[in-house]
Amino acid sequence: MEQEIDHKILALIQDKTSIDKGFRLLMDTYQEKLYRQVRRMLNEHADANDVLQNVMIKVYRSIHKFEGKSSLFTWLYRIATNETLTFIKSKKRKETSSIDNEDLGLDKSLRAEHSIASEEVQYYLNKAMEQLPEKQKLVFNMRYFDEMPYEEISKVLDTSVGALKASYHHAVKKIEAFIRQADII
Amino acid sequence: MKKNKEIQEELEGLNSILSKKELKDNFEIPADYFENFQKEVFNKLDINEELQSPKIGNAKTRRINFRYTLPIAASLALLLGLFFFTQKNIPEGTIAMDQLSSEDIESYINENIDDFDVELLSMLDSDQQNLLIPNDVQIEDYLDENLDDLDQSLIDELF
Repeated sequence: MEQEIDHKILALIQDKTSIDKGFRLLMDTYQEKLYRQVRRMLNEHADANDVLQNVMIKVYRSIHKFEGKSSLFTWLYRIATNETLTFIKSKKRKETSSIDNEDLGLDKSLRAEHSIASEEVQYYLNKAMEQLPEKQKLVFNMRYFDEMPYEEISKVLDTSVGALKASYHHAVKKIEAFIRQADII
Repeated sequence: MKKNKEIQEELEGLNSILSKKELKDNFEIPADYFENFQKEVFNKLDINEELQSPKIGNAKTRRINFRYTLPIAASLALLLGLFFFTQKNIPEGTIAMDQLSSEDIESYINENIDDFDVELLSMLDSDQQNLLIPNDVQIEDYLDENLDDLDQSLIDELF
């Protein structure tokens, strides 16, 4: 099913008269998945929106370079991942506040979301996830939320399947440890 | 939403709480976000293309300017030449060249630019023409100095 849509998208995009139509279909198909991926890494909607816009502009300009060596989604995911990591690095450089303040900000942001979800366990699980290092969080998101096979994650992150498995298992254990420490279950 | 079998089994193998309690996204996506998102992306693409397009516009402008530059430069050279040529025959009571400020000359040229005619050049003898017409070295110097303002395609046409 996904392959059929990808073929249709690429056929439309290759024809100059239907490039915008093809690009719209690409966005219709993948924008939400990509948004969720970016948002899980960035927390703030405004940041996720900025990054996703940049991703789509890059995709529009470089789609002709897509060689079909991986699935279209893997290729898009890779661009979104790189763009997200670049954004995080750039934001960290700009930030003048201390790590403590940053943590407080994160906590506040999560609590605000918590009031929407209003589920304590859920809140702490997500808070636990926030403690993960970026790369580990990326692997966890791809595996747990997007349910991607390790082989596909390997293509996105240029990392061996063995290293990815280790990274995912560490992430799961860290979340587990955080939950037990908080003594909420 | 139920996790796929492989991922569920993996979590159970790790004896993780996540095999029993599902982690969900803890954010909400604003209503109509994606509809507006596509509009914003296309707007940005349009703006970026517009920002890139002035290069083409400038090239056209430069081409037009450059096409007028040579006749104008020739007219100016001719005008100055005629001033020098006729200076010795200035009747009494007429303002001499050295009495005119450069602003006056520029102002005169600007006001009468349409009246200048390259054909006036033919009124001069060959020695005078040689003084007014730039040689190859002078043209090359001019082009070097003004290279940034010139359009490459026009240069290709010229040489």
